[in-house]
Amino acid sequence: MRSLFLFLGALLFAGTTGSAAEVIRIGTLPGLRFDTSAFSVRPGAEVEVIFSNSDEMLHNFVVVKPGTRAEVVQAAIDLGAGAADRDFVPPSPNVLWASKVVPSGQSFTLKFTAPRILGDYPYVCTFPGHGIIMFGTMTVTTIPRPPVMNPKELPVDPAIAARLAMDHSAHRASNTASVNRFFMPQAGPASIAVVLPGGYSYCWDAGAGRFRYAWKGTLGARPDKTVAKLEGEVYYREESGFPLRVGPDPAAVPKQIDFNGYTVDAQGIPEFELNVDGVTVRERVEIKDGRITRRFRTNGLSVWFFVSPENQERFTATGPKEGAFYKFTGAAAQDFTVTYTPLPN
Amino acid sequence: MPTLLTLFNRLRNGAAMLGLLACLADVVRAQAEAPAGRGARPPESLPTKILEYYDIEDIALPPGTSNVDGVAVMPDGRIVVCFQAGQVYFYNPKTKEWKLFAEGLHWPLGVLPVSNTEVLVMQTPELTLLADRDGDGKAEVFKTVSDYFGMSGNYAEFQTGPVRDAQGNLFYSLGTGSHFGQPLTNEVRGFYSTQGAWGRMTSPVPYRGWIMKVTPDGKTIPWAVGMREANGIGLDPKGRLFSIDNQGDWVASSALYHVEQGKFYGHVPPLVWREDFQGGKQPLDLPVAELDQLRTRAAVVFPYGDMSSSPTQPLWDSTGGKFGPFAGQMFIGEMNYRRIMRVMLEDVDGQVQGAVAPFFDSPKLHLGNVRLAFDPSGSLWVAQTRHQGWTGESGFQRISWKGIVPLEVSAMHVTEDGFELTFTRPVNPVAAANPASYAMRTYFYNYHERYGSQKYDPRDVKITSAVVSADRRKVALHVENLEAWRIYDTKFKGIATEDGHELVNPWVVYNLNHLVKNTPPPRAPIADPKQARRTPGVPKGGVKGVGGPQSFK
Repeated sequence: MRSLFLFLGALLFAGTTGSAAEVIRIGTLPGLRFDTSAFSVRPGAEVEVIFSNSDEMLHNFVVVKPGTRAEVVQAAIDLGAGAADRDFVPPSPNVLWASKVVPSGQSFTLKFTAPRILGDYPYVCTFPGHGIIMFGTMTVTTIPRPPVMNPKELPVDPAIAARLAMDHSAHRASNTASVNRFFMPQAGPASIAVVLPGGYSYCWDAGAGRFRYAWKGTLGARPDKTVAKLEGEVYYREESGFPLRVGPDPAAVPKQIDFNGYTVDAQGIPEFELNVDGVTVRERVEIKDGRITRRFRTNGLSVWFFVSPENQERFTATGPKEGAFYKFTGAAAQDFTVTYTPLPN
Repeated sequence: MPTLLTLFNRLRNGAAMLGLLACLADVVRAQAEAPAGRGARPPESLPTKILEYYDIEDIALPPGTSNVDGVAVMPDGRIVVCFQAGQVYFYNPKTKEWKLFAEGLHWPLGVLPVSNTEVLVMQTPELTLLADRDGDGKAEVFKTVSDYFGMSGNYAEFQTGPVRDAQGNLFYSLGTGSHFGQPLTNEVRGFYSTQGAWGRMTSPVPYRGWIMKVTPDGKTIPWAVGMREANGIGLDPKGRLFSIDNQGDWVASSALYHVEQGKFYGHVPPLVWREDFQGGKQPLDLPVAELDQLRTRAAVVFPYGDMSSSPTQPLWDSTGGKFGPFAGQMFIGEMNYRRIMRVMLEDVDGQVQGAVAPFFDSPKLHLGNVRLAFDPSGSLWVAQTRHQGWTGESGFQRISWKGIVPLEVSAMHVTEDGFELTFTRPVNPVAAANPASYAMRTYFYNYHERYGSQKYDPRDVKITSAVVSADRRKVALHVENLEAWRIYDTKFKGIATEDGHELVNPWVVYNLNHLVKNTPPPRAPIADPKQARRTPGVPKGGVKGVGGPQSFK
């Protein structure tokens, strides 16, 4: 009974104080941390959380009911296959509001009406392995206080680090890709062989800055004085050179392509980064049942992907076709996918 | 004979019988073209008294790994190593535990920590920053720091480094390819030069045989030219850059160079990438006398076949005395011998030159001493490899000083008429003052295209007197007819302290370029038979350069 009275009291009180939208900016720091460990909002306020991810890794921003953070984090880990499709947000009644997964350098605005019930509402990144340490507290209160910022330096807690390491190794062991830099047949000498979970592999060439070919199978021996051996048949080869154009004119072949390296995610899958005539381009490749899905993230305004005539039938993309190119402009240029589907056997 | 010795060693070290044929193949390959030269085998190291003063400990490698190709010490005291197969591990010397940091790299041959979670690795295609950003102990970020150089896929195109100076500049070196190899596919990275492809060790793509600099803002600058297979670079305490090179074509005997911007160090094919050679000029066509004028000579020469056949990384003793009486001096590894050497440098007439002596000669030391690092306790960590069929052994060892000062030559200076030796302990003045306690020989090496060089004009040097200082730590050797541009090899007999410490390594070799004053110009090279050159091989269908440096000044 007592709590009901409190609840009603809070409701009434809140009704009198709810006002214009409150804008909260949350960033990220290296080492699985939000830059803000606590902030407060008024009950019933219209809240706009602008979540910007400056970290190298993928993160989301999920607000949960008081006291349910651990449960939600575990539910996200248990999602298994398909987790990425739902941005690692579990279908739990304890999840109040959630952003999409925000890649490095991007942001997401999450709008909601603050609870009318006073209390501490955790926010957390539910990307597998992150939620154990990557969280903060949103306090619903009538007496707003300034946000609490995390120190830029990483606090070292050996116990947490050990738990995290265990968590990650368990996660990685299940189903991970491997990146292998070596001399590869029919590619430039600065090649990279990526063996994906699911029995497919591909060759990506850091010298040419592009995808070269895919095969069903894994990587074989890497001898001392010659190219690596492929264990399996190449079924798709991109023979038409560098596929992207990054300006308004698709006829303008890029002049300068610089390889900047790669980042691997929790599945061990790399995302390669290039600088193409001043435009940052990231490419991540997944292969399922032979279908090659290449996700590009760029900061270009207008990006084109060339498909050679003999392969036109086999490609699909998230943008419109213009001649031999797929065209991605505006927001679509920032994140698009191009998919090759092999002919059925 | 060397082949048999190698096989014997491999078998003795537990190589399986099944591996016998593979071993044989390796030996043949190593002799064909190791960076070290011809993979010549040393006589088995004679036991010296070094183990009375230093301990050596074997460190077990993590399961499934072999061939340690790089070692460095992290700010928190952990040891970081890289393996030929592409892994990077941390070793905690306190708990003796290994932890995997990264894998999948291409033949890394050097590591350099940036912080406790970031490590630079010099791998075949590039210099890469590996970073653990999520705190799980493993790297997720593999950021390309410098790849502004060509690759042909030739197996001998090794790379070494990086080292970092006080201003944050990084330096690394790029080895040349062998004429026994060729581009592996129809594509190379960087512009393909048909001129550069000629020679015994070649530079068909940009900057093979160069030392590169990376500025703190990330710009890569070709820094110095004319290396053959510079399997070791280092910075001295004054910030001066040094590089070794390995005996072969244009390199009479393995040597140590003081590297300065824009200078040429003698190996000719890499000159194709120098501004004044671009546009189709073939540097191999220049008269040898002209090339000789262009080159900067070595500070120290490691006489091939006796002192060293394949020197590796130079490392200065930064332990402040924790590693014995050699603070500020250089140690340098050896691939093909069970030996670590010590180098004593001095500035003479505005140039760096000096002497080399054996330091750690012991059957307990492995072969393949490719990389060195000092930890905060003053122990020397030695990374050992046979890399891709080089002469060498896989292993990891730690050398620590026992605290007793050995009797050694701690300095050697050229004087107006000889050399002044400084010893680590007062010596018995009777033996030290006797000229017969010193056997000195002198000779020189020739500069030519042919592989290596014989010792020219070898002769004994007459020591007219040996004068011992009042504190008995110094001996001035006065010699007859001291000549510039020659090597002086001195062996000691009977030098000891009065309380029974014998000279541990009674041998020192000084490379006398400059006299104290009035140094004559170097002699002209002796004419040598013209060498037949192999026509460079390219794969069927030709070769084209894709990516990498394509345009030049």
